[in-house]
Amino acid sequence: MRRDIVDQQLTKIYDYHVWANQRVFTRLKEIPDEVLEKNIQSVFPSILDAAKHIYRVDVVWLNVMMEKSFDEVTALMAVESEKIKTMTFADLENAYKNIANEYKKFFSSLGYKDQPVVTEHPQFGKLESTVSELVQHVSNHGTYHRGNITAMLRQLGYPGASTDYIFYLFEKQTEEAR
Amino acid sequence: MNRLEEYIQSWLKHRTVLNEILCLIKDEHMYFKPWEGAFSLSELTLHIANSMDMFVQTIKNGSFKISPVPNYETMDDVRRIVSDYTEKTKGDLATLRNQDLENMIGINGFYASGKVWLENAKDHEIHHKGQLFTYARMIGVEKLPFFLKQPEKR
Repeated sequence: MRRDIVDQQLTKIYDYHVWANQRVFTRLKEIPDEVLEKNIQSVFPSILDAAKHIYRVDVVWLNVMMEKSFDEVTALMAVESEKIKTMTFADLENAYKNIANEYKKFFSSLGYKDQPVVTEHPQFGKLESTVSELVQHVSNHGTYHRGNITAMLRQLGYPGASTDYIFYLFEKQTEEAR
Repeated sequence: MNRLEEYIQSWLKHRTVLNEILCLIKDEHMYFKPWEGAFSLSELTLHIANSMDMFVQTIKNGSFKISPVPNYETMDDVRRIVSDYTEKTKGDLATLRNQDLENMIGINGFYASGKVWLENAKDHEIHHKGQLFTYARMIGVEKLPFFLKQPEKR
């Protein structure tokens, strides 16, 4: 595949991830905090915990893309996890906006070009990847957990948010045509 | 590895986990519905596999094409049907040509290129897999696999 297409795809996939999360946050804002924090039998104790997990993993992968070592990322996440524990939904939304900006700054620092990433995990070994592949993983991870959240919302009697990739593309196309 | 082969391998990492989770579901839970109007557990599972087949068939055919879901009575039937779909989809994906990925195709009134529908197909499967994991936890499955097939630990 041509390099410029990969570069365009990198930012588009990340933009989709942010758009989809924003759609979910918009829906969650309509729901009382006590419902978001209610403990239920599911893949996460609560909807808020599921949303926090998406944020937490986004932070991890940005630091991996920046080629921080496993130990550096682990130390950083120990601090971050403490902050996440006490976050309200409003705090999380702000934190999410900040991490999305950090991603955009990072892509800008690369000149919006894909680049190799090498990382070492104590259990899985050495991974030779690229920023675009890791961004795809971040997006897929978000899609999976947004699926969790949709089902958890339904379980509690609330509708989910529609976050299909095709809807994102059509919405962007409409925006660009304006 | 070309882009299509990369796609197949990436999708299989998700489909393999779908098969793993289905092994944890007993017949007594196949019609479990967590809310009124939801897909049952077996319907959701087959929607995932049938939709992927639909997207790939449609891209290959150049126009909307969907096959009916085979009949089933037990979770073994569901697992077998998913396994059959997986083999069929793997084969169909491998036969796609560059032109198939560039053609504009309409599904439910939305027109997009084959490659866009292919990305949408994987995203659709992952999203519904997220819902299926939630169903599994609700019926009491304690130990769920990771959301995609991980590399072997050293």
